[in-house]
Amino acid sequence: MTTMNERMKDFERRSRAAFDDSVAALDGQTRARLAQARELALAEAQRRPRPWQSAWFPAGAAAAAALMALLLWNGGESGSGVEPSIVALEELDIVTTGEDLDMFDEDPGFYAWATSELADGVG
Amino acid sequence: MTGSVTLSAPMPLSSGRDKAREMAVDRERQLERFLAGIERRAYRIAQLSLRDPDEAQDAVQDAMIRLARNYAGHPAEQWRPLFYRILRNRITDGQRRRRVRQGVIAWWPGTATDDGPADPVENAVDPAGTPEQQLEGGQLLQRIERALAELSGRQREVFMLRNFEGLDVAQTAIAMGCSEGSVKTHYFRAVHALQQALGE
Repeated sequence: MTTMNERMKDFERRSRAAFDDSVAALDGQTRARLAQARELALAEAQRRPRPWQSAWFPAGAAAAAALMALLLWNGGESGSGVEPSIVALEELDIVTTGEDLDMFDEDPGFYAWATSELADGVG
Repeated sequence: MTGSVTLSAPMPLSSGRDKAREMAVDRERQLERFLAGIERRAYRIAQLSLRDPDEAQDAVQDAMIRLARNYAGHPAEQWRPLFYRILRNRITDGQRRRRVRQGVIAWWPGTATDDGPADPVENAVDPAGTPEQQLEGGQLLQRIERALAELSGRQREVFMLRNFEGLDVAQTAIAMGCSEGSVKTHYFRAVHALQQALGE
């Protein structure tokens, strides 16, 4: 007897295989245009400024070493295990790259629940 | 008893630069492999969402460029969900632009579409499909494509990212900007709705 779960898995497997076949069957022109797009993207990556190409590289390296030493020193004292510099950089990255983080718009119920759970769970 | 401390000689600055340059070249090669491995699947997903090959090409190209520009320095294991996050945003923008364009065209008297009035016979979907589409896989995908169009945007996205692209729950949550619980719920509903629509 086929269970609902098995039917679901069979459907997932067949639909994935059909999609894979359609990817393999892409025509040469489409493939060539995608390869061209990839080259453009890689050229963009190469245009990014490299630290060692800058005249400030030695000073930057020294500043980074000093910052690392300071963070390790403070980290050893607090013992929190949290890496504030990484968190701050990730937050900055999200702000500067402009990717929309529309979690609140997309799943308001979840966030309302999470907020109430946090409020209840404090203390 | 006194312990001895051995200090290695400091690395010359030029050696540091060479090392950094080598690492950057490795990173660019890694990025190239990543993009080459993802571009065709990403294109098909964009095509299924936008239903236009040129718009799909543009969306994938923009997503590649934005990933390379903004996230090339991130750990490679983050690239896949980040890439699909960018592509998803780009697809959503494309869909919004199209809705606005269609709204203006519909409102403006005496015009139909960019390319003239649609030909209902030309645009009609042949239920039998082309000879190639008669093959089981192609026919199934064609049916899935039609059924996907009837799903909500979230369900369609989650099905394509989880099933077609093989992202795990955590990666899909990053790509879609929602919770993992939301991914699981939308995915289950999507598969169930597709099975029902296809009489599975």
